Amino acid sequence: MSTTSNLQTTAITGIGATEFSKDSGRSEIRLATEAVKAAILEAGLNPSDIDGMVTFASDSNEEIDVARNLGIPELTFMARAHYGGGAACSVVQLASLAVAAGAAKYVVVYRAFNERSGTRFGAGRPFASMDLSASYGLSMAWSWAFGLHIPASHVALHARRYMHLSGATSEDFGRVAVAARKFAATNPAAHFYQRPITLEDHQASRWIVEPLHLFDCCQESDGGVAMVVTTAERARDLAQQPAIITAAAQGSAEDQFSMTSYYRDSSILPETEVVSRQLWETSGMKPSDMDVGILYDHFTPFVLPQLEALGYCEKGEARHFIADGNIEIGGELPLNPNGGQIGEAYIHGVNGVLEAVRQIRGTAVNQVADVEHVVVTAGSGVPTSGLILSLDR
Amino acid sequence: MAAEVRSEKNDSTSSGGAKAMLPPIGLIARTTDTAFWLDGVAAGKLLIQRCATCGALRHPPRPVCPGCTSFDWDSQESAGLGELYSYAIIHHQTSGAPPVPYTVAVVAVAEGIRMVGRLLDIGDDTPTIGMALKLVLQAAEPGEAVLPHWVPADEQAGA
Repeated sequence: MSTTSNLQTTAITGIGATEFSKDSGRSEIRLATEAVKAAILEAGLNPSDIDGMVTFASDSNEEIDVARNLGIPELTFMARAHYGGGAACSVVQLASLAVAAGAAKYVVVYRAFNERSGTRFGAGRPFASMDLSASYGLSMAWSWAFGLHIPASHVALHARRYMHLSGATSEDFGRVAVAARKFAATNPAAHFYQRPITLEDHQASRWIVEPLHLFDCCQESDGGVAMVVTTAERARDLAQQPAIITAAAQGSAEDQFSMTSYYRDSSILPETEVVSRQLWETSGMKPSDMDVGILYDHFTPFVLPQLEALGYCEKGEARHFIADGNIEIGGELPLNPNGGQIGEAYIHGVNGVLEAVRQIRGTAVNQVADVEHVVVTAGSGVPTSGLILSLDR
Repeated sequence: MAAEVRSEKNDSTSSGGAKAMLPPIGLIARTTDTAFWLDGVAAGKLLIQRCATCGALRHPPRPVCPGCTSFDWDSQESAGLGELYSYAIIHHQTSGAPPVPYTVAVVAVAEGIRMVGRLLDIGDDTPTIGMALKLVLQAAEPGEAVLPHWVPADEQAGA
């Protein structure tokens, strides 16, 4: 099924989050349960109302552990979404489909980890504990064996190719980081609160994997986030203004690998194009109808082809769109007003979904005026997903 | 044409403190789909999987042709020439990685497939996309497995 238009309209109601830090000082299951409790209470619900749970395939917190800890007595729907940050919107889609089909009434979506103080994705050697003869390990081994050990290295090869094709430079990537840090500087929840950077700071930051500077890379963070998904009809009776799930989609494209799709002849991010096509078809809307963009910013270079895949500019033209100020307040698509994963925190993109909800509600710290629709994307360069969230009309 | 084999660095019996920090030999697991490729490397050849039904080449190795879904395949030996499709220079040292900086390439192999490999012997030169490369079969670092890597095809740079 590529659309949800034949199902009951669904919405995100309560949202919850822990603080974001570099060392939470507590267990991942505690972060998960803190965030889930906060989301349930913010919705005006009780734990006993919850009957469904969705999280990332890679989340360490079992659905039944979260339920047991919070005294949630019964679950009738449990699901997990794969492909790392690519799942950031898939989890909302799964929850939406479940409540629309009647498999559950109130589904909690959560993501929680100690990604900085615990297992860091940027620490390398991902193959040390993996079955290298199984599907995922073997497909990744064709990169790992040659020295591509960290996500930044996987993305750098795409970034260099994109620079060759588009004429984009490191400074074009840097403008994404500068804009993110400008938003983070006025977001008290952001790690980089009150710490903006200049393009010169970006250019002077050390190489991680050339052409990626340190400031092209998102943070590594500890934290937990959660939200409650239900039907729009039920959400209207709860404590929060609903954020209507207008469209939700997943996407995988030809010859798809997880971040290492170096062998195909199509564009840089065809999986984002698969998501984009579905979002516009399902919603009947177009890019210019969006008031805010939450684009997955694990690494700045992938923000550019995402803008192109979503239709904000022609292929190779995103550098001009950004340089013209279009990703800042007052521009065509203010981007990641929470500071994104570069400036706020890296909670695998789900903190971005929460920001989209706040922008719809009109309660964001860097609030864009008169927001009716927000487009959200998930981890790019991997099988990915996307959302359009809207004001209830 | 067999590629230049540089086996002097593939002393897997040598020991030393650094060895345990390098990727394990056999990182590319030997399965029924990959054994031909590993055996090819051991014999000094870069083999490319070829669909026995439609003739399409494919890499990395896999059980079935994505073009025609045939499970019948053989292989052909690469002449060992290619062009630089993209590259990344790793500067951030992580545990288990080779000593930085080092350069990894995506190579457009002349027969029509792409593959990842180390770009060696580049010195202080800046790689340029499209530059001609040639295959070397060697260990990129002491203690690593012999794998297909690439050097500039220019005789002076690649000597």
